[in-house]
Amino acid sequence: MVKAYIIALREYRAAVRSKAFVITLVAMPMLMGGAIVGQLLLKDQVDTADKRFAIIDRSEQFEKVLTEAAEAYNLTQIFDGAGSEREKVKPAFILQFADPQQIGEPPESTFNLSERVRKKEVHGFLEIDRGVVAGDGKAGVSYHSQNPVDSTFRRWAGSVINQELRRIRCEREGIDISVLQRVVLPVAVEDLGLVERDEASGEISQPEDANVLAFIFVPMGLMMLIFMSIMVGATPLMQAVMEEKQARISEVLLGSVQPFQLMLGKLAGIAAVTLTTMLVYIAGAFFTLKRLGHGDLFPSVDVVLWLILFQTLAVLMYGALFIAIGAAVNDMREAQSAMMPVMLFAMVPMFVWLYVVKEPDSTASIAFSLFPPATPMLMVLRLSVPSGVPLWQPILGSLLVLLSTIVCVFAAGRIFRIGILMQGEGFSLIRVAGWVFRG
Amino acid sequence: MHPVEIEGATKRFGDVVAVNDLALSVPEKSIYGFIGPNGSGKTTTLRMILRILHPDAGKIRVLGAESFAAANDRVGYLPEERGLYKTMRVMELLQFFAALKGRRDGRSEAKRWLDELGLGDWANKKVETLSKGMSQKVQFIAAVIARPELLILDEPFAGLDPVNTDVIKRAVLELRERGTTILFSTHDMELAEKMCDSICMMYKGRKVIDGTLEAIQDDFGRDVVRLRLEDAMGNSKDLAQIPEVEHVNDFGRLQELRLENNADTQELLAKLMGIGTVRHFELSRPSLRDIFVRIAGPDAEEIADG
Repeated sequence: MVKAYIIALREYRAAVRSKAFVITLVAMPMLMGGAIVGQLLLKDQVDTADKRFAIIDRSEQFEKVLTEAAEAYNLTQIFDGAGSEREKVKPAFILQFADPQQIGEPPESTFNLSERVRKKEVHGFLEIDRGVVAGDGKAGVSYHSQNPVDSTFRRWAGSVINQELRRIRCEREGIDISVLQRVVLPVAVEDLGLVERDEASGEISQPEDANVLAFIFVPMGLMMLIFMSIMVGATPLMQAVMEEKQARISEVLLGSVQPFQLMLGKLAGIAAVTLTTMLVYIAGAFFTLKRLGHGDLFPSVDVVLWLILFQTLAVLMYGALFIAIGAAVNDMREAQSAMMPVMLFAMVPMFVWLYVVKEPDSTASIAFSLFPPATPMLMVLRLSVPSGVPLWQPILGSLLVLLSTIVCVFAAGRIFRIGILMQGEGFSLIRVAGWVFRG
Repeated sequence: MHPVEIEGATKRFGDVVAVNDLALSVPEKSIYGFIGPNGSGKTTTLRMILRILHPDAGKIRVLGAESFAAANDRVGYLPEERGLYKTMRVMELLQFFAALKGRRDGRSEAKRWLDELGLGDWANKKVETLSKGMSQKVQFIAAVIARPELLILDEPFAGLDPVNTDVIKRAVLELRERGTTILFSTHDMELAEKMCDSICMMYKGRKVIDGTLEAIQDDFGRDVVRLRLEDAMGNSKDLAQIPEVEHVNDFGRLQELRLENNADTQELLAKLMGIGTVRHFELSRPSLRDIFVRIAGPDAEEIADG
């Protein structure tokens, strides 16, 4: 085991001293944070050029309200700040009412207006059917545009039209609109967390606003941390083994150590490297959250301990598989096709995590989180959801992962022993399986 | 004690028998040459001695131990295909290899060897900055740094220029003086002939000859004539027609004649003088190459030259 330790030490030093390690250490949070920062930065970067919309009001009921509402909107809603700092942050709506007589009937009218949108004369157009006030179910309002993602105008126009519609209908039916508004006034349902009793004073705390961050983003972040450890730790291991095989370093080493020791050393080295990375990130997250006044978002000590355990097991399990692949293949092309099935297992949590976060205690979630290739990520995900997990589940999960890790390490050891000296023969899953079972 | 004893070792790769029922024992403190053409099973045998490969049948005893449990710290190995961690510094790398063999004094030993092989100034340079010859010497040091009792060198001189070949050759001889048993493989039979105390010749996975060089050559008698015949360019056919001559090996400026059993050498000399002016006539023992060709058959002639 001393030899495995010497190998591990060399691997660790070589990895931690490399520029790639420092770059990854800095780049990973930037990549993850970059998406959020990018959205935040671009949020205000809206195109503020005014937008023209064509409106055909066949019911002849809405021209006045829409015009007035647009004027009000353009005066009050599109600016930010006051006085000299007043700044236009949204486009103004400029409405062009088309004469229904002139424009004709659909589909001809719809086509003509679509052409105008295509020529960029207007941004979109609204067609209000004749019978919309009667509300017979057939008549309606339609909005056409080239970009259905930007729904600002559609939602604004919808709300103006519906308000007016209610007013007209109340008038026709002889209902006092203020009565109606009281009748249909909805009640807001607040989203709050649980309350606690303070041990010392015996007082019951005020409920806090339920924090979506704590429920979704913190668990997801921890899961991604493990996923990243596998990607940045275990994947380069495959490359390193492949390079050592190609550069014939392996045989030099095999003159001094047994293949299994060599592999264990490499695994231990990389586990130490990812652990270092993890500790840097955990410390970084702790101080960042503290500083931002969100210390409560930082996961509890037991979650952190489980996280470290599961990420170490995950790196060992996937690392062993990637080492085996590195030893069994001859070039990057073969490596990529051999990696596919392993990657698929590593991706399972990515497919199901949203469901697991929403239903952490469902049978399916428990089952997913006890499926060893997915356990490290999904168990940590469930553990970090504030509702928690019964203790037997992470214990069983870690035992199952440990068992799988041992199986993977032994299988990989056999593949490694034979593959590392094998040169030139194409990769075949059947042959590699033969190495595992025949030894 | 024989540092390496092999009994009936056989190794197959699929349908190919790489080593077939091999038996040999390497005498202590000697240079033991493992010769044969490429693909004759030399490297496989060396890897079995090192326990990198396990024989399908047979026994291999190294430094008295038969166990496959541990790669032996008392054995040094220089593989044919060489590789070093490119980004490590030379000294760091050598200390790593020494540590793998359980030595803590890697630094002083490494320094001594680096100085001896003319690499003293390169100790703190990265491996990637070394020339090919230099990195081969560093690789050699990595094999010997832990003062092995048994040193296994797989084609140690392949790819080295004459100057570096000489440096390594001197180092090997010095190690033998210090009591190291050296087992080395080569397909260069002339070199083996010059350096080895004992030789094992392999061909197609089998041992074809084994013993000290003298004993092997004695077995094949003193039946070779090395000849330089002026005006004899291109007349090797004439030479072959002399009844005393069994086989002619024409090197251009020099011809090597293998004689029939009990051929009269004086008679032969007289006949040669009839063909041209004899500038050199030397009665000698057959070379390893010649012995190999005789054993392996005429087909092996090309292989032996390869």
